[in-house]
Amino acid sequence: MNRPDDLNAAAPLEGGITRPDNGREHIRRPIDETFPRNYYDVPMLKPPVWTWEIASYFFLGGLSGGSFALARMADRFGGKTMADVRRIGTLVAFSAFLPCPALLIADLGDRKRFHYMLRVFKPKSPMNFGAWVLSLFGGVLTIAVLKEWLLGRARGKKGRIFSVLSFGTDLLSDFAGVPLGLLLAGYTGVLLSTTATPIWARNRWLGPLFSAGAISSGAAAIGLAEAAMSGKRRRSGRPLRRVEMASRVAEAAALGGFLLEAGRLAKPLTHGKYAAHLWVGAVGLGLALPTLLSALPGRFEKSHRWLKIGSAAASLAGVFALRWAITQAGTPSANDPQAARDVSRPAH
Amino acid sequence: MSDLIRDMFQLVRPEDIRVLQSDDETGAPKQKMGFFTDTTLCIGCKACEVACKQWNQLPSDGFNFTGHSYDNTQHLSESTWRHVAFVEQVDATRDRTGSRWLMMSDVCKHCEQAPCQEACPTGSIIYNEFGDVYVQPDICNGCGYCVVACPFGVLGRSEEDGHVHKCTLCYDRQRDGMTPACAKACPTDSIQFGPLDLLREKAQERVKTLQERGDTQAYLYGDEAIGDYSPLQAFFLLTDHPNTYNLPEAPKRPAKGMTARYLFSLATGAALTALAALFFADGERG
Repeated sequence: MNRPDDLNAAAPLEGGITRPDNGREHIRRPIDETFPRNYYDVPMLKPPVWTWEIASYFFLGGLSGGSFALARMADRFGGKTMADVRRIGTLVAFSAFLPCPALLIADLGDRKRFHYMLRVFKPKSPMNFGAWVLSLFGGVLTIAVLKEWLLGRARGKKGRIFSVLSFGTDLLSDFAGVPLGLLLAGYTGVLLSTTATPIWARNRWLGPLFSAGAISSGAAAIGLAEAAMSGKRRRSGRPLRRVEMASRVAEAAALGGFLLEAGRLAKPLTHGKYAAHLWVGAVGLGLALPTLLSALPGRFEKSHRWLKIGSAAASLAGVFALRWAITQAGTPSANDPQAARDVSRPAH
Repeated sequence: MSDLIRDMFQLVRPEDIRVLQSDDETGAPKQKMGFFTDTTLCIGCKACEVACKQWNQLPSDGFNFTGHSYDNTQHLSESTWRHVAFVEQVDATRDRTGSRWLMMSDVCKHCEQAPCQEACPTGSIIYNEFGDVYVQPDICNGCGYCVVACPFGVLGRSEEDGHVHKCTLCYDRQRDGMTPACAKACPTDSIQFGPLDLLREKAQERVKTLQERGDTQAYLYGDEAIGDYSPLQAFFLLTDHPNTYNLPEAPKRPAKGMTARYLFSLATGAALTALAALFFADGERG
């Protein structure tokens, strides 16, 4: 706790007796020059009450939305040759989605009231909007997975009802599922930016950062699952790598934008406890390592299954590290009264 | 049709909630009530803190000594709805006449457009019929979003029941036509309660009087909009920079620019998805 500087500078009283006033003028010094403008450095804001579940949900929700969007694109535009991406992408999206509601409920103060989130439809609140997006996306995703399962079972000739249903579910997946998945991927960033916590407050880049991370983690997870299932060379390898590369570039750009816009307010992220998560985890593992590996001569990555798995795993770990560091850095940021004062300057 | 759906699922529109809470048949809010806290009258007795704790039956915050001043409460929280700040400015010059104590009884600002209300996903936080920001304890599910939305750091989540709590502006007392406990207990009228328009008039007069007496630093904080931030329904008369009292100089509304941020975020996702479509269509070529 800082005391006002002047306390230490005060002239000592002699024997506890007040000095007589020798006819000096009583001049009140201008307050703003004399005394520090702070309150014993007591935090001005409250830190988030969220624990590890929230960062994990941000990661898994994004992964789910991203891989589903990729699965649908592969189905629509890749045709039969990309059927693996559709199948595996849908399953990856579903597995990543499953723990999400549980993670969100676990973090509530009163878990039995979780369904109150859907008591109103209030798009003004990103938390409420996200709850609706998550619920609707879960419904569409479940239908898509059921279709995938039925498709796997119905070998040979397929009836007319099946093809009509299949057409319908694909339509639902494309026109409702993909937008919902993209919203699920990005709303979490908007949610953080719609707070008073200095490091996140009104930062335009958090949404794009989380969106790009969702696509890159989706592509990495699909690639990882493909490589883990078999070592055979797939035609989807190249487009997936290109998607990952493009979204990694977007992610790096958004991260740069975020750090630039936050400026000094990003200090709890770039220095201190979460610096390692950011620089080693997100930048090193997530962005640099996979980029370096993909720059190796083509035959390396194509022939080395474990290289592929390692690269995808590093990419996923990096996206998680970034979510984790940004979310957790909210606590030191809110506890820093100087940051709170800076973010509430009239010009900021 | 939309009414039917809403009735079926018992959905409540956020704008309805304000109306539902009104006793009045017309649904119009009654006269807006608020606090005017005049810090030049505060003597730091903490009667408001005690009265608030007693009336609202709030748990103890423990027995802590900060060592920096007489302020051992430090900040507002789920269990502290009034907090008296002690600013000790000791003049280091020989005559010490510049020394002064600034005391301020802090409280939830009951913002006219409250970020906590905007953030609340369950509709637990409402504006009641007195225009005050109220957390309905039977609705709150403790998501904690309002905690980070508040630019004043007012709300806290209780470890005991998992819900968020803050000043209710003594909603229960107001409904019975009584003055909130803190204002009732204040021995110097530093805390004044009443209809907002009247309070604002009174406050402006008070500033004028103080300035005429030579206290040229007196000004009102939050009686009108601060930049793009709404007026506060619990506003203050201060004599130093807001930061000195641990108040933000110009609080920001977190939801400002939210739509643009959504669009920017969606555009990034959509662009990458479109690129993916191109790559998949290309297959192994390109």
